[in-house]
Amino acid sequence: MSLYTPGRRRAILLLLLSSLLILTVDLRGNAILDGLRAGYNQAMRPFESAAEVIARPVRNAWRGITQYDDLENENQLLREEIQGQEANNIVSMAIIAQYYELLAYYNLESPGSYDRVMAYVVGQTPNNIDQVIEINVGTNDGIREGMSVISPSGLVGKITDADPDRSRVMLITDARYGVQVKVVRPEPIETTTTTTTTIAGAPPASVVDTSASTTSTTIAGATTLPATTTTLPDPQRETGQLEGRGPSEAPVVIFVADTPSFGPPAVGDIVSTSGGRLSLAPADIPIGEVIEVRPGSPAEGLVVVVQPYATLDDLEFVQVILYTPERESGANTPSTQPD
Amino acid sequence: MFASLVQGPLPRLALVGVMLVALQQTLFVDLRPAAVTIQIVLALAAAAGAAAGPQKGALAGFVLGMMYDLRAGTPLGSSSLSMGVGGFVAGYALSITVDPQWWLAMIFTGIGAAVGETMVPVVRSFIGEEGHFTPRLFTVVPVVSAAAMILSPVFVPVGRWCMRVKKVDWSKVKAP
Repeated sequence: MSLYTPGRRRAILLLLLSSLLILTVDLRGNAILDGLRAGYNQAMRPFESAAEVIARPVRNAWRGITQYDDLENENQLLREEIQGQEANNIVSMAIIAQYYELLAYYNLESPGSYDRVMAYVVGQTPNNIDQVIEINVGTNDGIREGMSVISPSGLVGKITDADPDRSRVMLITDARYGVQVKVVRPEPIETTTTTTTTIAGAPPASVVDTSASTTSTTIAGATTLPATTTTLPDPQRETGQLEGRGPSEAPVVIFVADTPSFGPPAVGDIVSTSGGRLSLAPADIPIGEVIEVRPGSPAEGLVVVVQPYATLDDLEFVQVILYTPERESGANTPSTQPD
Repeated sequence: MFASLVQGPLPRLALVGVMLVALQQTLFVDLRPAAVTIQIVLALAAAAGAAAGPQKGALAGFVLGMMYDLRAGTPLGSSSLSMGVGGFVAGYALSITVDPQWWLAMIFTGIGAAVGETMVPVVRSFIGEEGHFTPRLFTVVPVVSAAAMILSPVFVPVGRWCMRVKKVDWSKVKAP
């Protein structure tokens, strides 16, 4: 049987060239192909709903078989962690409240200044390369390309494609992802705890003494709670570019200079978005913690490996910050102004 | 022209492709042995190649890849290219024998799927994306290939039906 007749060769060559042509046209951006994609996605919905009916019991059985032991261990660990974090949470809430007071006092922006849209994760990319999820909000909800997506733990990714009622989110671990970040060295918070008696139901009191950088916070509750005296940290910082490295590797920060005032980044430093006019994300969204620092190529400088705070492989609910970076929104679309 | 389009393999491929893309998008994003997403659409493209030859395998890969790209949001044409190559390579089974036995078709489906999956980062590199060649590829390709081999006893007949190729009934073939 002849495999290489001229006719067959021509047909295969035609398919190859067609693929390359479509690929080139799509990469350059084409309204017809975008419309085709949106229409096809819409047409696929009933089929996917039907497939979901089949998928659900099979998925549950699969998870039951493969994840039961992990789930039990994780449950136990989480219980212990929650107990340990309850006390920290109370102190943290007081510090966050003071932080926002200071931001308001100095008229500064924060991620909390922007409106957010809650979204449910309805799918993820079916291939083994991209790190993309699909959420159930779209342009009808005010979502635009480039907006940052966060979870309660930190930055998750950015919107790369928005349909009327669905959007795709590129995760920070995707090899194509990049965002300007700052590496901040948290200074230890000096906390002294004294026991005071407070009246149940009274509103929390918070006194900020900016001149001395010292705050005294008393939190009211039904029982006696510790009062904390906290010295606000004055962290030093360094900026760089966070880049994803694919599904099995942690993202890294490159272009970090070894500046004398900050010193080289160290394990335990905190990485958050740096914000700014050209950044994809507003400032101060926490991303993760430095787990490794190694020298890169001369062009890269130091390479800082970051463990994201957000658990990216098990996302269910996320929030989209309605902040459009000027770089992606274009000159005609104004950025969402902070409240 | 319209008649040849309707009577050709495209309607059947589109029908089966829609179902497989829907399953790929729902069920198989969760069933991930060794944290690898099984590629059932690629498996069908390779199986069609093993059942119907390199030309029809490439055509099946092109059509199924296009449907996959439209839904997955990947650059349109990238999966057509990788799946087309996968289907083409799997079609080599027919260069060894006119009517490959099930296990031979299984092997060639596996090879086609492995080549197709390997082509994904290659194609992405051509369009300027970096960072896809990682050691994880050594896990992904064997798992995708093994899954395609396991699915091939079902997918090869389906591929044959899609491409309108009839299995040779040797009892009816007369000796010259």
